Amino acid sequence: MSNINPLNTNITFNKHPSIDKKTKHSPLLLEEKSRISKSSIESIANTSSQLAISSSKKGYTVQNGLLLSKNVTNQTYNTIEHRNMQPVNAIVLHRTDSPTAESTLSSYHKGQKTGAHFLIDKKGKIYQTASITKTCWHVGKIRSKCIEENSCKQKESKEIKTLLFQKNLGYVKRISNVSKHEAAKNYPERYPKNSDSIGIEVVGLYNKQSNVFSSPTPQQKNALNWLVNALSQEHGLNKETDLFAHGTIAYKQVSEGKALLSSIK
Amino acid sequence: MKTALFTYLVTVLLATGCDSTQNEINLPTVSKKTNTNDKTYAMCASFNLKPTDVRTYFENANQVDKGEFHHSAIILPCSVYGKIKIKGILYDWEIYAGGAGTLNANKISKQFLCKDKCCARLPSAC
Repeated sequence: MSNINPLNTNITFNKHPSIDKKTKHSPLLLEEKSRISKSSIESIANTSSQLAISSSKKGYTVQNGLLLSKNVTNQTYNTIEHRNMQPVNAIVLHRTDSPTAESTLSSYHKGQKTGAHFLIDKKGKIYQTASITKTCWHVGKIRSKCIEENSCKQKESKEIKTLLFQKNLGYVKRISNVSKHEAAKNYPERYPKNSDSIGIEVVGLYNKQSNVFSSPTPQQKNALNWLVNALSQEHGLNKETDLFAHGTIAYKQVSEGKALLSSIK
Repeated sequence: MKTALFTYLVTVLLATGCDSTQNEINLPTVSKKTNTNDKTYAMCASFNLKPTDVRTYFENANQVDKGEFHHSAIILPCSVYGKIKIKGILYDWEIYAGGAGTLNANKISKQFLCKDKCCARLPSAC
């Protein structure tokens, strides 16, 4: 796997804040360290080595929100990292509508605030672009899950329709009101939102004529399957129920992420 | 005499300048489409824009890069579309209910979002 800087520019490889906090800036941690006995250190070392062995069987370890593996290039951008993540309930699959990973990375580099945790290029190279302990703005306004799945109770259905058809309000405001209404529900009664989901972007262009995104390459499908398996295992997610196409859950091009979802084994 | 001629020329130039600005965006053709497979399509079924509205949109909407459009645009199941000539180039255009819009001509692709100024002038798009 190549580690060549794809932009040939001075990209900042941000250290996750908690790494700095623990290794450099915590006097308490230093004090604690000095108090640890030799046997404790040996015991910790043994446990760490066991953990490393069991994690290496999985092909990855997770440290300070970073997925460490030969399959993942860590290139995080603090511009797209926001609040601390709540427990992860789901994974959302996105398409970039860009021809290459470089254009997406370049936007992050220039300070774009929206983005997802991972990016998979055409050759299947996986970039981790944000820590999974941080929220990324990747979902947008969410649709009503019970309306989309025809599972609303009568009262709930009426409430949502009232919000959708409210008079004297613009479309964006009405959509925002539905999204807020949904956000107040507990998962899985609602679709995932930014604060409880990991976003994966897969490079691919949107074709306006056919209304679909370019088919993911075999390398992208392999990489996505590996990544989804690793993240599902890490967060105890069910691939049948906790994996979503962006176009299903938000007001986006309907086909966004659907071909990816159907490629998950 | 010279002063009068100068004033006349300046007036003509200014007037021509204003005319050319107004004519930079020609009135477009407008058609409408609705994705009735979308369960919420009824909320925007009445969405429509007149040719003059479309011109107002492209005069006032913010052009954004593809990344911002991809993440920020709200794509509702109702849109209007057609062809429009801007500065001599014939584009395919589309504007979605909610204010996201595109212009496409051969290899040119532009994305727009209707923000504050645009929404104030064209509330029916937002």
